[in-house]
Amino acid sequence: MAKYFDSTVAVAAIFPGSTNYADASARLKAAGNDAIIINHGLAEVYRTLTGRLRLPPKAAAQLVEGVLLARFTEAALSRDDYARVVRTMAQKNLSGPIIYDALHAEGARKAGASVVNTYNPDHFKKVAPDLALG
Amino acid sequence: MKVLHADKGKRIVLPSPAKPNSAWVPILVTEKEIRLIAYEPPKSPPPAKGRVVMGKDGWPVWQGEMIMDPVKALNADREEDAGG
Repeated sequence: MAKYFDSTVAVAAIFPGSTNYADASARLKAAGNDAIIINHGLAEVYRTLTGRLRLPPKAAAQLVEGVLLARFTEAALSRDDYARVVRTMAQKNLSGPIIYDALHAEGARKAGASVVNTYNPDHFKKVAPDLALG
Repeated sequence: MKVLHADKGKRIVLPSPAKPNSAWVPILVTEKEIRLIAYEPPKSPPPAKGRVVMGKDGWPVWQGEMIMDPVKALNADREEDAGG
């Protein structure tokens, strides 16, 4: 059964020196071929690798290809999916970057994921109380 | 402060800015005095030192400098992108 990963777990699985690496890698290995992430997650991870983490672009691309593209199946969000997320955010009076969590939650629903792996559980409780968190 | 003089064609010749993307910025102090300030853009921080290696779990990982916790970095980048 599909297991959804948001960008926080995906990026942690790239850095063996990070506090979350052991947990992230265990989750990723356990998911096997059932790991799912939205397309936008690839861009988010690349943005952070080359942003605050200051990895050279070639290294970041190598990691996105070797981890994200090789280990995950992408859940593609449509125009209607984005529109629904924006409407829901407005209905809940939520603003700012939590919309990225809401997009991941929409991807998890679309993929029929049994669980969402995230290090932002508080965000997901706001945008996706219907989803089980791992 | 270095005082500059005009050449015979009454042109003020400035030394070229020493670095790429730097420039002289003219500041009008009085009607008879202009000060030229050398502007240099802030330096972009150097890239993290390290390389991509095959990790023990079977996928490539970053071995080297970790500027900050990756989860915190991702959330901070999201905040920044959202103008927070």
